[in-house]
Amino acid sequence: MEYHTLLKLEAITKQFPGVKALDSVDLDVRFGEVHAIVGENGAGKSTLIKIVSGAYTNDSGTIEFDGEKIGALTPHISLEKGISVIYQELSYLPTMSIAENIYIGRQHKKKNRTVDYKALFENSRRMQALVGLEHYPPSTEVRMLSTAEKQLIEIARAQVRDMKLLILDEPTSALNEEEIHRLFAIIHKLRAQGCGVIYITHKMDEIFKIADRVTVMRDGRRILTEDMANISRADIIKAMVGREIREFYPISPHGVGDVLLEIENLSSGILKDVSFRAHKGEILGFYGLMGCGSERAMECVFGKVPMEKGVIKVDGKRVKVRSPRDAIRHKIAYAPGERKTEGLMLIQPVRVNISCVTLSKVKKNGLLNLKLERSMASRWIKQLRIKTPSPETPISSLSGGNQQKVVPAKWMENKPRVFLLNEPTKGVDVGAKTEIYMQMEEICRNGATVVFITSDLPELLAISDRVYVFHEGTITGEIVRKDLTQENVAKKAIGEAAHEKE
Amino acid sequence: MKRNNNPGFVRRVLVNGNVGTVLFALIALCILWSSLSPYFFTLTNAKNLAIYSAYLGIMAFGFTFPILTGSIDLSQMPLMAMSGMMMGAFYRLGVTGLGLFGVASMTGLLGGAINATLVNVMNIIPFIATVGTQLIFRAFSFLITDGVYVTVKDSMIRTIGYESILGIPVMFWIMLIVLAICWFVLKYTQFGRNLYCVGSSEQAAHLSGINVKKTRFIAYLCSGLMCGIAAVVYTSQSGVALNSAGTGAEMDIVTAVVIGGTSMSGGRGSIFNTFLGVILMSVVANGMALLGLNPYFQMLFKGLILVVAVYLDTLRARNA
Repeated sequence: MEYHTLLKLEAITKQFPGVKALDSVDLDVRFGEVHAIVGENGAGKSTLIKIVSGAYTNDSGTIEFDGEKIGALTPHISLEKGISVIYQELSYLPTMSIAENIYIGRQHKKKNRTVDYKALFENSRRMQALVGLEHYPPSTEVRMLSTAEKQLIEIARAQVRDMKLLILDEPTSALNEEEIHRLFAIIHKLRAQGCGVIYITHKMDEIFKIADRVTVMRDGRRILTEDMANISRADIIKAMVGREIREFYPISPHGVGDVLLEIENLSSGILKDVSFRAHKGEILGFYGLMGCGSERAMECVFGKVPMEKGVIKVDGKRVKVRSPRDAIRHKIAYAPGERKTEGLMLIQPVRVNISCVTLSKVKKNGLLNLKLERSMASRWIKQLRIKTPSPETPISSLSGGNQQKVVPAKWMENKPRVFLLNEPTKGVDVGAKTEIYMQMEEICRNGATVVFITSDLPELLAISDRVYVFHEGTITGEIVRKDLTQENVAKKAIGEAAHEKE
Repeated sequence: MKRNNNPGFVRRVLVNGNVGTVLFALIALCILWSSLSPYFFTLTNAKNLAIYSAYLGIMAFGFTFPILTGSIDLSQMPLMAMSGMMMGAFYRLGVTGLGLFGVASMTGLLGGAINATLVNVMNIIPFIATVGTQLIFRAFSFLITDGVYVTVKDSMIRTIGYESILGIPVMFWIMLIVLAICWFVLKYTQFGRNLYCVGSSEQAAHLSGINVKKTRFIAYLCSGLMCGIAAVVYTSQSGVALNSAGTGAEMDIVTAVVIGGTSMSGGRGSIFNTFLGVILMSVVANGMALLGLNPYFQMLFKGLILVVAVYLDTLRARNA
């Protein structure tokens, strides 16, 4: 064979109570290749990598790594063999130095058994250079770094351990364009060194940029494995969802009405004198790199964080929003980015989660009418097709996609006029995304306005009527639909347009 | 969906912590005690149980409020003692009947407000804040009357302490009334619902327009008020306001509530869970006393039950 196989999985099956998570899956990863694995939520990607990392044990099937048959992988064996996984949830010690984080578990000791900081820092500098972090002193505390940089620290740590296979689980979900670029450069370097890389992602663009081969999974089975050169975007999507999706973005341009929401001279934290407005029936996009202030602007409008200065007007009338309660009274809704901690009360039943914003609606004589509440919940469960055994089921036992649908349900009962959405499609699979877009359009058709933040550029371009681009706490561009191009947006996001003006 | 993955019997019974589980344990314990002591199944002992569980129950209902929000109030026993001593002090000044009840309730509310301020306004973690007030309230219960107990010869107190209605002691009736009110508040008022929401996720509750601070403040007030009511009941048991009331029993409330299946981390549980937990704890204590068990062993068993109860709670939290 021309290629040397690094990792070979054959007929891997994993059964959980009630579900077959993996059904006879084959996978081979070669030395020096980037192998993308794609699939909708629940396709079995995570289970598969957990078997490779040793977190789970497969029920049947064989694993071969670096020419050696391995009975079963444990986390310990997996690490020892040179397999490193970088999960979406990064693991680092925030108050320890870069050097200590990179060399965690590897001691540098002097003869008298104290830590040899000189050797440690020297080695750390070498590893930092490999991932492009040489400009930081090794003693910098890791909490001072950005998310992207923390991720690079983890890659450096993996390299210390003689990594042969690197597994990246959705590595770019929290990165901006520039950081993604840097990450890709490092992946290329690793590949050139002969390291195998498994790259798990939702983003179609990235696969074509970085991967050599792609494996598509669906319902716990491998659907196909193909060289990138021999496969098209449409083929991959078709294999992922098992049907052809023509209308990926089902949004059609629609009529936009009068101004509904106006923000004047808003300052708060990083935000300096920001003004923007949103019209009735409009889908307004916010875009910008990490820390640009778009999220903060949204949180100010909803009263989650205080404004230092500024005016909020709804329908031309000035309103005071000091807390989410005020915002809700003015029919402003907010779907936060952290759904599990901020959007939902996981241990409470679906009914309670749906009614919590509009509990006063199910009150009679000041007391809760549980029958009325149940019927309200049932109505939304039906309307949004939330799959749940009953309104009394705790949210935590629903699937991720169905949990997701409960967030709009609780807001829509309040008939919001302004709907703020923070990354509404983050971590959502293709089919569910379409449904979210259709919901957004539905809200607009009823004369409300949707403001959404996204870091997914194609999505921004496809569904926004108008876009505000944020850069370091100011708005650097307002782009209407006909001028929306990738280049236009990206330029303003890194602040170029602003410099031109000066 | 859940029916597919059939967890083992032991796991189901112990970990799920539903009402059936506690009932099962209660019945098993009753069978055990009655086989060991001929006095267990007598009318006199049933009255003993009712009296013992009355003040413990009232406070445990109060304790359920902050615990549902994910907070804790460990200052209840001393607050009850302090409320009792205030009652004693005002009795000396000539206050009688419902006036005494008012004094005790107000003292309880004041204590609750102090706890709420520490936790809510000064943002001290609830555990430490209420261990602090535990000492402070206890100190005041001695300071109020210079360390002497007060005999309260009031007709209302005597009625509560010694009378029965339909063969059931008045103080048990009081507990049942408090139980009914608490059940109603938790189930049918917005405040009750807010307690569960705040306990599930403070952030999500806040972003859903729920006033988290106000909810928690009122929860502590409820807890305090129940201490005041419990003080009346406790004092009427002996007709004496005792400075040392509830010493050594501070954690009995926690044990009762948690063994009943209410979660320490908030958002899950009910007044009925608490009620069953209280009865269970009362039966445990009563049985040990009937058997004439060495008090140090009684302490040992109470400690073990507390640890087991909290352990089961962590198992439940992990399962969810």
